[in-house]
Amino acid sequence: MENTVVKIENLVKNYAELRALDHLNLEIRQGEVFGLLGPNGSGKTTTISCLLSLLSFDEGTIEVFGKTMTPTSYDLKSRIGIIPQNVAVFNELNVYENVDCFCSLYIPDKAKRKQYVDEAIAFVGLEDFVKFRPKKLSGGLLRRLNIACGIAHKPDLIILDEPTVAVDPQSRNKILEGIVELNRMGATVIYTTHYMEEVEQICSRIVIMDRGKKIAEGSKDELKREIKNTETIYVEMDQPSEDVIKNMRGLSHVSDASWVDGRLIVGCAGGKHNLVEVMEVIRESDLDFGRVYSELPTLNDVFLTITGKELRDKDERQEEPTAKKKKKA
Amino acid sequence: MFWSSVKYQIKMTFRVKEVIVWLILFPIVLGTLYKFTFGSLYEQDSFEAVPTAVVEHTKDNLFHLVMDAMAEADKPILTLTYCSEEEAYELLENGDVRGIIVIDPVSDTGEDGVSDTSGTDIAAFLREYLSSDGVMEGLDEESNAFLKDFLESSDKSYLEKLVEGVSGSTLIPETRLSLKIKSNGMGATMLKKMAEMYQTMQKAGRDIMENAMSGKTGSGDEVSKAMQGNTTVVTQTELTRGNKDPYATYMYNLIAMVAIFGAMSGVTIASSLQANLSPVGARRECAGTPKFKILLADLLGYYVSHSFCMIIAVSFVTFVLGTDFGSRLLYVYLGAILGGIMGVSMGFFIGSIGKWGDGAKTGLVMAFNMTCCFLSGLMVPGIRALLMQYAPVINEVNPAAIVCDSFYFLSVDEGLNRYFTKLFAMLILTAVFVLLGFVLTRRRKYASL
Repeated sequence: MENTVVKIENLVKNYAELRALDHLNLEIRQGEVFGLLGPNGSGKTTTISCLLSLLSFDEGTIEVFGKTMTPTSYDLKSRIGIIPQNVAVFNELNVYENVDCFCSLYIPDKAKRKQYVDEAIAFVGLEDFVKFRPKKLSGGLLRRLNIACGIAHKPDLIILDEPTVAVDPQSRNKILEGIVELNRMGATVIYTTHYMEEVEQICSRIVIMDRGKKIAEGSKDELKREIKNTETIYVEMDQPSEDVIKNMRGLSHVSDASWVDGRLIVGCAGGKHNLVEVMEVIRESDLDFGRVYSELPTLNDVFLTITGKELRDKDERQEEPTAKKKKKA
Repeated sequence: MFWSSVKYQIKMTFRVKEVIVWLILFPIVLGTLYKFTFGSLYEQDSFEAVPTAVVEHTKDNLFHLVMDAMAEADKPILTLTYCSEEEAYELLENGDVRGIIVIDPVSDTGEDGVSDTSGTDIAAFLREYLSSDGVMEGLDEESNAFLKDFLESSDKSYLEKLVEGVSGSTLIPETRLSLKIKSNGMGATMLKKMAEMYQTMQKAGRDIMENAMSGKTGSGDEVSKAMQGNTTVVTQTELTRGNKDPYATYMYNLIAMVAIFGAMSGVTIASSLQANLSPVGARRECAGTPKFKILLADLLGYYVSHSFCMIIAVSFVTFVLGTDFGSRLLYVYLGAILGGIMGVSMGFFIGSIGKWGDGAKTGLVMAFNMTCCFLSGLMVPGIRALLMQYAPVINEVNPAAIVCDSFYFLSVDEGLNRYFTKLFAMLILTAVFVLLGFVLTRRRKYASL
């Protein structure tokens, strides 16, 4: 297919006894922001490493821009920009020098390169930090530098491997906006993450991976349609009687109701006035209640429905800064 | 791409603290320490003779002969004051002399004495001595006739007359030197060494005399010549245009160490080139430039920066510390630069082995460097000579020994053949290290990252 940028067929990668990729098939089309979503250890980075010909694999084929990708496919590699999970810059060079150094691996012409480097630095908003060495930059700025080094040569395909790990919300938004902008400028983007909100925010097509396998594929709306619940209602209250829960389950669009950790959780499939109906049951039972709220389904619900487990640990993001502080201490 | 990478590699090298410390500050600091610690020892022009008092409780002609020669040389080692014991102590107390040499007699009945040499032995010795060529030339007629009679006669009266009061101990008397010093220091150390040297010399002379007189070894002619001090066994000829004084040798060793330390900067080449060793390596392997080209640029960058460090090191010891490398300074630069290039290549090779981190590999390189330097005698003198005797092949392949040898040959040889042989060996080793390093890093796909 002419507009297929990446085609992966039956990719198998084993680490000794562990099967990291299990007959994975992917097709990424030109102009997409393609999200590769999955929990840690699901095989996202392994897929990217195989795609870039860094990792050997046991079975399958990989084509990029219609050609088989090999370690010596320099013509293909020169059209790819990689933003690795770990910040990959030289600590001894400042911001400008780092971007220029990596850009020089693709753009030999000095004048053209200078223009590209300036544009890349401006794009990630590091103009005020060009003379700073990486050690002087905050985590968010460092991630932006990492991105600048990967996109300065204006690649057709940009691969971002978890670029927002341990980044503050402000920098994260800046990065995500930048990715959308890059895509708008014509680049095809492959974005791997285990943060479902990011994928929902920027990706036009999503593949969810688990244990080396593709378990779901489609746009976010398509994926959400795969799950039964369209709405989940939460009511903070003391444990109600079994009769109350039974009455809830008896409502026309309620698929499930249970009381967990001080909350009544009511799953609804379809229906337009589910919250009103649920509150009516509570009022009739004369029960006290606290906060009431409703949530639309997320990709985590999709993942939960398919695998029976959470996509990521609860409150993982809130824990990250603490973990970072501990590491620093 | 190529020259841009070279430029950034050079920049990066000089921004690494370890490089600044080990390749620039280390030779400057250690060279300066050498200069202040040992420099004055070998600067003969500024050497001051050690003022010494001599107290003679007995007459020792040999002592006079030897020590007076030292005191009367163009660049005297000693200034001697012959005086009484009381005066000597006073001079020492006042600081006018560094030490007192006291000459005491030793009883001539000891085993080492020659008083037991028989008159017949002495007569036999004298006959042989007088028969030697030229001994009787220049004597007046009366003496000639007397000696002729003696040689032709076996009459003991001549013998008795001749050897009356003469013995080996008269020719080289046995004395004991004792040294009194007020404080330690270079002067005191020197006096002690000279006193020991003299006693050894005296003992050797007495042994020669005794053996000669008892007919055990040597001819009268040889002994005669030896006693006259005109036996020339070794002719000293200047074989080199370099400087072979020990101080310059320290500096040669220092430069050799710095050259080998290039391995510490070279060790990071591999990690920044391989995807399984660093994120930067992964990013570069994904680039649209062949790995070999990036490697060449990195190596060249390191070679240039390390050569610059070597030039700084050699220039510092030459022009700042004033070390005299004779007329071969340019060859010193050449040897140092090639040694540095070999060191960087060695680091690249070691860095290419295994999947450990940069820290572990730097430790490995340090250990390897130290071992090489130890085996080449840069730390403990004499090791290299031992290896030369028992395992010469180690010296032939030890990079540190090769660099040292190149400087050594530069300082002792008139020609440059052996020096260039060592330079050639450096080039060969450099090629081997680079080739092996590239073979280890050329793998294009990894089983795991």
